[in-house]
Amino acid sequence: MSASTRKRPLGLIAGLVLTGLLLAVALLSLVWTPASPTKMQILLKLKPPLVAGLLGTDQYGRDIASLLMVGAWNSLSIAFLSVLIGAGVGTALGLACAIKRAGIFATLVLRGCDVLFAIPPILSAMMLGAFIGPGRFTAIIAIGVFMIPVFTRIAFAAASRIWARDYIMAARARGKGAARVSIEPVAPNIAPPILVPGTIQLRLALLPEASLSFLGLRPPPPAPTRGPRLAAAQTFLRPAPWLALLPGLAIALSVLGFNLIGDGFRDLLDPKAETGR
Amino acid sequence: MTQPLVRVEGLSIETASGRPILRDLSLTLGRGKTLGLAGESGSGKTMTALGVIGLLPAGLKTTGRIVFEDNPLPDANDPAWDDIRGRRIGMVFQEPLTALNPAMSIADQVAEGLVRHRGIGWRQGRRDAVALLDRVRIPRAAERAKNYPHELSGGQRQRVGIAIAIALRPALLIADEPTTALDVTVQREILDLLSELVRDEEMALMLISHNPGVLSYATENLLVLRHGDCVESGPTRQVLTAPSHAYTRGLLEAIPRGSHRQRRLPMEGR
Amino acid sequence: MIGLVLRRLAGLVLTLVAVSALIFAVMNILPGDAAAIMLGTSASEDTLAALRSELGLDRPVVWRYLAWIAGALHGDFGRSYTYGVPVSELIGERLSLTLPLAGIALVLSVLVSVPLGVAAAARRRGIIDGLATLFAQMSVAMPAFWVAILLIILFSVQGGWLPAGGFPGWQVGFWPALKALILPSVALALPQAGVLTRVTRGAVLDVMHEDFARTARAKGISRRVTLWRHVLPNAAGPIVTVLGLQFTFLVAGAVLIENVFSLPGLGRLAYQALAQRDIVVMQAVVLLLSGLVIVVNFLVDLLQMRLDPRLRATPA
Repeated sequence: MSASTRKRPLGLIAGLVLTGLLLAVALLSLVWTPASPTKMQILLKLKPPLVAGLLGTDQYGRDIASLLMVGAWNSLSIAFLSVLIGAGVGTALGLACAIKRAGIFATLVLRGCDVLFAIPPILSAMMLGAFIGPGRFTAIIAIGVFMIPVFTRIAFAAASRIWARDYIMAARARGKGAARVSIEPVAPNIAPPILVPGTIQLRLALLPEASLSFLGLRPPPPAPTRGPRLAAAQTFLRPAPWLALLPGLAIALSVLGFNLIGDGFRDLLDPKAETGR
Repeated sequence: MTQPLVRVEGLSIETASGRPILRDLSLTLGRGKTLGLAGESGSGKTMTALGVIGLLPAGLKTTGRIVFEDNPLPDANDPAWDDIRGRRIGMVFQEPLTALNPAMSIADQVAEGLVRHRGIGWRQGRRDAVALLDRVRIPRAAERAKNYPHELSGGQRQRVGIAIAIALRPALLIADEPTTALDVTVQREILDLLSELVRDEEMALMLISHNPGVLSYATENLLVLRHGDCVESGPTRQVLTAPSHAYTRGLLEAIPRGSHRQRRLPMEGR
Repeated sequence: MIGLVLRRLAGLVLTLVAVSALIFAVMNILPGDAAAIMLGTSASEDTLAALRSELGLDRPVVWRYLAWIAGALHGDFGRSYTYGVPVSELIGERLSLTLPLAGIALVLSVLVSVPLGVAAAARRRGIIDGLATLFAQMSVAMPAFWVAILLIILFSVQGGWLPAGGFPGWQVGFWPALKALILPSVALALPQAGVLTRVTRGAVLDVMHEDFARTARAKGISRRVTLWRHVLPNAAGPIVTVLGLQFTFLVAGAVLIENVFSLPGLGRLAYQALAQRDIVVMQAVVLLLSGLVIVVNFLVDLLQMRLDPRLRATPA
């Protein structure tokens, strides 16, 4: 019984639209925001949405909409860079390990992955933050390093499967060196299995990033990400709940967007996923 | 018994999109008799078997009816099937390794049917299961009762599959390519076992295979299927030695027999 | 099989050692001068020197590492610089909060997601399936602390039924202490439940179509019994694997949640230690939490062996 009708990729489209919108807003913030995000207007503090500014103001009178826009840019860029690090380093490592599966290098690297993966990213960020100081760089490094094991494992598994194929043996028999084989044809063929987890990891990077800023391990005040307002917002929960809810909603929407894209890609690339994993 | 045990009347199966799998098939099978279903893959023989035991994949449309022990068999998702399967009709599948639950001991898997249909306890069920494993010639059955499928050889696993299917002495046993996944030397033992059980219990056997050697060894009557149609039927010996249909002839000749000539199946005619 | 277990155990120890070395390196070698970090660069040279000798910073690194490990094995993690008390004391009280918190969250997430995932798979494309998928998508997207705050608003600020933070301690009484843990556990469990639901659904769907499920039906076993007796035990493997992997995130989440709800647990301790640059405490907490993750993954491996007899065979 073959899959007859092709499901229209609603999820993927929705995800792309959502993420596209958020990206657009984030990029827009680089050139324009409704009000300056750092401008404090104490007289206008804690006003609800639409009364003062599109989404209200925080306890310093700063316009929340502008803060969110800039925050979106910060969060997205940090998440993106971390995933880039993780994917870049991880894929390279995974490819290298696949060359000699049972070799010392592979064993060390894979064991190293277990080690890295054992330390929750929040804690490693805190450790780094203790002496580097909190900030973008810390967040990117901490999250990026945590992503490396994931990509290493995926790349390793995918590359191993390809190495087992006959045309690799044929290439090697012709005298093509292991490194060159890794570059071509192995590398291009592992791109698909990496894409899907890649987008998943993007969303996974957004959350720790938000958590880190929530805890205050973030760029210092003039550079807002969406997290810290939540921390401050807690004290103002009763009079101004939107202070806490709106930034979280923004984060949730971004993550949802990436989710939908990731799932959508997976359904596209693997039609057997009728099983709907 | 004058009435045949199983009567398939005009059974047709097609996919949801209308592609036919089986076209208007009719057959009868009497108690204690053996019927072979021959054909290549895609001929509809497995579907026929699944239809008789009510395990067709979801989404297929069936017309026609099957009468078993003088009663029409229920529709696909009718819970009445749970009383018929195992108890009155049993089935042995092609791939012994995947047909058994890897996480359950072989004794438990045999005992499960007994417990379910006879209402006995598990301890008693396991004891009876050991007797059954012995019957299908699993060496040292009592010791091996606690083994898991992966600890057995292919032939032994298939014996377990048979034990499961006949545990409640059903009137009809369906075997879908029971020897295809096994080594040649083991195939004959399994076929002998099946014949013996059929004789002892007076079961009817519906044996599906694409291998004429298997069919000639183990069946009295034969039905040849091609693309969902029955092209020939009759006593096995006759069909195999003097086939009246071009397709059947082609099927027999397509099997390499020492010489390396390979003939293609005739494409003409229905 | 004992051989396999021992081998895994050896792996566990190795990973623990490696993690501890990594943590120690990051906290002690990378920063350069730990004393300067802790006191700040404006401190006088004398104070710095005093702190250095007190912490044993003038000893060779390897010696310090071994001393640390040796102490840790006895439960002695040194002395907190900011609080002046043995770190083990600080940790002791906090463990009795963080462990139950993580435990309850884990149990909650499993209790919700496994039945939901099974039901969704059993009736694919039915209403339950749609709801389950929706739930999974959303709960995964929501940051844990946002859920936490949402819960606080709903149940505490508006409803006033449950405390918005703080922990009275177990000695006050089982129920009041538990009440303080309810909202945090739910906030912690929710994102996990989302992931687990999806995984359960997928795993069950896969196994449902395996041949042995059909064999069970051919025996006359009903759909329901087949699902619970044959399908689920075999689907449990991937689910348990994901549980293990997710545990890292559970711990990370606990760190957050404790801060949102002002719960005096290990996570909050880590945060405070960070703020005060108390390296001694930080090391200990990170080591403990990472150790917890490693141990849980080891237990997960053991559980896998229990679930799938094929894994128990020692390779020839």
